[in-house]
Amino acid sequence: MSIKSNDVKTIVIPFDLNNRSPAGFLKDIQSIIRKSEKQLSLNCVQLKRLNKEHIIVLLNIIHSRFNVGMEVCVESASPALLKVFYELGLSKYIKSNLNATSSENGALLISTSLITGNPFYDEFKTDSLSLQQSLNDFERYLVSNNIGDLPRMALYTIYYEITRNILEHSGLNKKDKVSVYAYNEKNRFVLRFIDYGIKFDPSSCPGELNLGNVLKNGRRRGIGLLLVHRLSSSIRYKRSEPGANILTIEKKWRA
Amino acid sequence: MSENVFTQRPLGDNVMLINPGQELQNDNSEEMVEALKSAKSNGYKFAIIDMVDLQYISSSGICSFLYSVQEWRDNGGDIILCNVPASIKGVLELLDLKQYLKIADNEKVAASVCGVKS
Repeated sequence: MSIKSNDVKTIVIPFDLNNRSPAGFLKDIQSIIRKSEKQLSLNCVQLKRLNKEHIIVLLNIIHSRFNVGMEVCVESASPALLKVFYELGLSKYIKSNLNATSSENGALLISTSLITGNPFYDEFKTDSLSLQQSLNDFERYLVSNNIGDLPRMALYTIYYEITRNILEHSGLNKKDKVSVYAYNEKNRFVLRFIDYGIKFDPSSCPGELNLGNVLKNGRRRGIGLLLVHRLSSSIRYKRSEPGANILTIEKKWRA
Repeated sequence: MSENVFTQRPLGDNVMLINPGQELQNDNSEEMVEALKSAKSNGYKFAIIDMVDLQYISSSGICSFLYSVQEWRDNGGDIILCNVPASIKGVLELLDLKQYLKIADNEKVAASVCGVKS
């Protein structure tokens, strides 16, 4: 890995996984930054697009740096990369050339409090099989982070209902992908869903169910979102330009 | 989760016992709708949904029996849930459905509610 210090305070690392495993890249970066108090800057000049592996590496770096109170700087990122950072809610937390996207309100993804465990990231096609695989991965993530039975059931249900809703009602075709980013703090969990389907704001779904009316009218829909509302501590929605549905759900529970 | 097995068997002349297996969600909820329809059209007054193996239920899974309950009651019978795991009871409670649905501790209690003598 070619590394340079552009000043006495910064280590610049090319953010490029060509011919490298994400785990190896992450290990190298962590061994470098562990020994240094310097700012870390990832140079994206060679990076044309972010794939799943890049995003997992980036999230891990950001989370590990925040754990020790450090920011991550991104240099020379293309507008397409900035868009991904923005949708993931990272623009607020990445220093440097992200001014163009600094107008995002209320991004919540990384706080300065202690973050436990690694972040979760997945992207999957909008078909049942891919969704099931993603659910299985998410369940493994919850287990590996020692999330208790009840919150685990709640988080699994939120994941299931939201992704299933996207799959069935977003108008996406089976090749389109949905991204999910999640992380866990102590007794607090944040999930962010990103899709490019038709505009849909689940945060405005009424949080009450009139069972009598529902049964009388034989209406078979709406219970899923109600369930998500009841299981969540907060739900926020944003429609980004040019057309991503960005849904952030927070779940808190008592120890 | 492993492959899901959906089973049903009569408990006397009036009662059909349905076990949806480990999960009741969008992909197999139609199976529950069909099982209930078929039991009703075959003259059964009561359906017991045995959740003893159930690990996960989605909103679609809940809807698969929720919307038939009134129909069964109007016909002089009911749909009764039994062996409901605590986590699933929690979900029903969140949706304010615990008061609406009849829930029995186990199959024996459910059967006696339906008039089946042990």
